[in-house]
Amino acid sequence: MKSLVLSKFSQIWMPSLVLLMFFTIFSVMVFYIFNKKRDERYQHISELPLDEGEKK
Amino acid sequence: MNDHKLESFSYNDGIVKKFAIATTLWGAVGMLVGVLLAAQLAHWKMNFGLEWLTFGRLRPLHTNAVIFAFVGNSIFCGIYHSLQRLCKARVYSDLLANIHFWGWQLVIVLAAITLPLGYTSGKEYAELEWPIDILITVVWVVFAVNFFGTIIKRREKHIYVSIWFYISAVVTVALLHIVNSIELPVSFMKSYPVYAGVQDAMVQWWYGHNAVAFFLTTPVLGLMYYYVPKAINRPVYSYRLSIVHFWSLIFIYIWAGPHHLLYTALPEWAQTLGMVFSIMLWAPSWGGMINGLLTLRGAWNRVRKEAMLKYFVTALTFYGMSTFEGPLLSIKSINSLGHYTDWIIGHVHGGGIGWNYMFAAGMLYYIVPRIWKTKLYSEKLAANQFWLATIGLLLYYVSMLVAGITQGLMWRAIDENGQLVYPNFVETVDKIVPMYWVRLIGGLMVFASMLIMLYNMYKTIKSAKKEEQTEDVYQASPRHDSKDESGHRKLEGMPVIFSILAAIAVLVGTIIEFVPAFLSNQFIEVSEKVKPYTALEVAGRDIYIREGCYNCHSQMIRPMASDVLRYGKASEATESIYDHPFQWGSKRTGPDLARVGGKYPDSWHYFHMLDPRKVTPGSLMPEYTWLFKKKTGYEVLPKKLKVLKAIGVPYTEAQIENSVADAKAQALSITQNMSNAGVEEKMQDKQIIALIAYLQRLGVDLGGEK
Repeated sequence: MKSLVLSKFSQIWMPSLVLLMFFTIFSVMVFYIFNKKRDERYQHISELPLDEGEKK
Repeated sequence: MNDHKLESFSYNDGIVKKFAIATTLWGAVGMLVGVLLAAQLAHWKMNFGLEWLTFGRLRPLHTNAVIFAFVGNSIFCGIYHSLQRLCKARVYSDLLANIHFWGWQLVIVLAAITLPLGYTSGKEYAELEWPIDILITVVWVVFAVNFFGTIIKRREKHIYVSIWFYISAVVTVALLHIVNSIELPVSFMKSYPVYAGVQDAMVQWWYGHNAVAFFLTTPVLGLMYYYVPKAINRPVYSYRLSIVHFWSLIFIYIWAGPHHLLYTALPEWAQTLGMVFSIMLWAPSWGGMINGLLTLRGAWNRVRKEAMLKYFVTALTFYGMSTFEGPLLSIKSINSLGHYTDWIIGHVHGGGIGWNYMFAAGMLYYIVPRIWKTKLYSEKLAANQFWLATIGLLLYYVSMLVAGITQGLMWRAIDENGQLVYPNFVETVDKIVPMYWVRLIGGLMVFASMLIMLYNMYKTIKSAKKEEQTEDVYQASPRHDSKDESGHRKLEGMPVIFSILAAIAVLVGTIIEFVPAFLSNQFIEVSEKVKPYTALEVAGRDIYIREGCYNCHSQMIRPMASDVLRYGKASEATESIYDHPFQWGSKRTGPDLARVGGKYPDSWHYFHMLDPRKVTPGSLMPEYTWLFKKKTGYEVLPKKLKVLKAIGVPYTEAQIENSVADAKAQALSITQNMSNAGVEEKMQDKQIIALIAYLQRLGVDLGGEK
């Protein structure tokens, strides 16, 4: 039964394509985000939880 | 900033207070039910002979109470508190927030009433019947409107990483709940899911696994990225790592559902996919854990003194441990040992208590004194609670690990002649009962720790001064959307686009896994030998579902020697094509029932259900005495068969029309068969007869043993 399912279902290209897309996007994202030029930008964002607004 | 004009606003902390109180109350209730269940497994009499206290009915209440009532309320508490502050805006609508709160509590109360009464859809973690499913949808939409409304009216341009995790949870939970709950009603509190067999299994575990992912994990990670920095007053270790963590986690998580179905009749293609993606999950999960723990760098001395930080550190540690163990258990060879055993129960509680309870406790110890504008009643009590919970959890986890591995090894032990070393299932249960007592002690300690928190919270809230319970006014600049931003930074300022991209990330895996499952009819050869259940068997099956038998018995024989030797020929996908819902199960506290049909005489089942220990000494199963008193509901059978026909079961009009007469005739025949054993004919209309009809049908179409 199991081998029957595998032999009749031949759309392995789908997850393969998605994995390829995932690793491509992932690599680009990591390269972009970890670029040294953006240090200051992310430092500012990471401090957001510490600011609740000014108490009147 | 192009001007310095400040806007005044206040935060709605009233809604945060309500959810904080609900969290502690429901946490205690959920854990109390858990303790009762642990006691029942240690000693069967602990259901006190009451049908609504039996394991099969209470276990769904425990899981629902802990997941949706305890953790659910804690998530909403944290989201309403942190979202307003991260957006520097009051919640979009106070009215919607109140509707959300009371609607959610109504769902919980309805669950607490209906589940013990046996109203269940028979799908794990999604047991609630269709009217409550609709109510959940409405309440979730109310929450979503309020959530996105708050984001839209925010004063802070940037959407902090916590909010991304919340967005993914809001979107994905809605998707999971709606897709998994598509069912056709038979009556006010009875329905059948439109999916059957392998499709239902696929959809159910896509839901089940991602309920863990997008209800118990991603929103809590969002809370972690807010409260851990707040607790030590310093930013997260690496904001950039959190971006990578977020996108890779939500993309990968959604694929992992099939690891719950390894070695089942699910196509092997989907099983392998589930395993591979589960292993890939290691990376983002540990990325998040490391980011959280490193945020505490330089503040470890405070962990010794502050209970709140103890909770956060332990929560992150258990998150790391659970997300290591989960992928480990997804590896097929390890899964073949651990699946259906108490190892999985230990794993789940490592996450549930270690990650969710610990984090919720730490978060509440941060929030409660601040929003009630008072001091924590007792730091010492909070620390004692922590140690009690931690030791209790370790006792729980270790006992379940030992029990699971012991039983798994006993199930698969084969001697030199190729025979099972422990052919009697109950022999493998006897060996682990001492571990069930240890688990009960551990569970009691965790429950006691929850009561300590309840007391500490009560005293803290009571010490708050009434005149100080007013809303503080804050000031912040209005939002300025600058045009010079690009890339991910720009994207983070666009909540709608961001939400769509997050939805796409989870939909990719969903669609690709669903395609083979929904095309399965094209490649699963439907055997002509497999026939729809008779009317009486349908009635019996509904009793099986009502009593929650699937909580202790699987109906899925794996294609491995030990399973086949013990239970018979491996299960095939075609055998459950008429099963709405599928009943493959996920735990074997008792033996598999996939081919129990014909294995014993009818009278064996009759006396087994009446007094399991009379037939199987040492059994932990409760007595089902009420099945011998309650009558089978024949009158609803035509409607049931009609609904089943509408969702694909090939009943003829004649079968539907004659369903009552056919069922009564079959019941009479079964009762007469048992006359030699002293069963009186007047028992024919009792529910036990319908249940026997169903059990005797299981697995006989293809390769049942006589």
